[in-house]
Amino acid sequence: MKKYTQGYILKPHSMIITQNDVTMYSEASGDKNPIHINQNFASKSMFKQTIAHGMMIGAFLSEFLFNEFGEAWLEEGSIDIKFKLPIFMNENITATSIVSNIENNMIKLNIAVIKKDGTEAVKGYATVKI
Amino acid sequence: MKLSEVKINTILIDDEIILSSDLLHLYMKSVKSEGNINKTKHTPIFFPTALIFGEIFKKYSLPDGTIHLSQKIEFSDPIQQNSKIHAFAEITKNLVRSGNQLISINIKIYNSQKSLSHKSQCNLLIS
Repeated sequence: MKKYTQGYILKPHSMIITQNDVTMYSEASGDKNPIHINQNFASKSMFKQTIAHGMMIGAFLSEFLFNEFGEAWLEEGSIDIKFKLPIFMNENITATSIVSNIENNMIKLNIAVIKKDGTEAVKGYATVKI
Repeated sequence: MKLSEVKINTILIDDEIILSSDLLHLYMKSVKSEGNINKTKHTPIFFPTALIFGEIFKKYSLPDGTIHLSQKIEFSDPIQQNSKIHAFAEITKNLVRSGNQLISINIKIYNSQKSLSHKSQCNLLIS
């Protein structure tokens, strides 16, 4: 495993979220809330359109961390995220992270999901034991 | 029954769930990471909790205007792909303030070796 230091910036990971992706996520998770998959229903909601599941964005962030840390990410650690903005269909999102601290073989990371306009849709922290 | 009507300390789920391989493939395809499945025998961190939410939302509907505010997961013992877990979820907070309702759900997941693998907390806002 590579040597991490405070301030290390992980390689960003991007994805364009489509309705097909969100519908697949609904089928897989069983979370079929119409706000995510029914455009007619969603058009009458506060967001006026369908939005991605927060847990789906969590899954995207988790795979970003798996790409960096491999199985270490799945073995011991934590993730704590706040959903600040909804993510709409066909939005391009990017997962970013910087190492904030390393102590007792535990790497602490600031993590975020950024929209194309630079706004933060998700913000939080993760830890991974190395 | 709506989730918003459920009282604090209510157990939402106390049951076994199978982490089906078919569902995992669909789940990973949805986040364009299907290629990561074969790189490990462990299950992705959010996958078991996602399935538990799916089970909860089959029993308790979410009122219109529900927003997922935050999600925390702590994990200490890996969960194998295609294994059976025991899921325990309960409502730990149900508060109404200034016309908004905040609901917290705590989840514990035990892996097939009966070891506590994941602890998570979810906060929902109903406005």
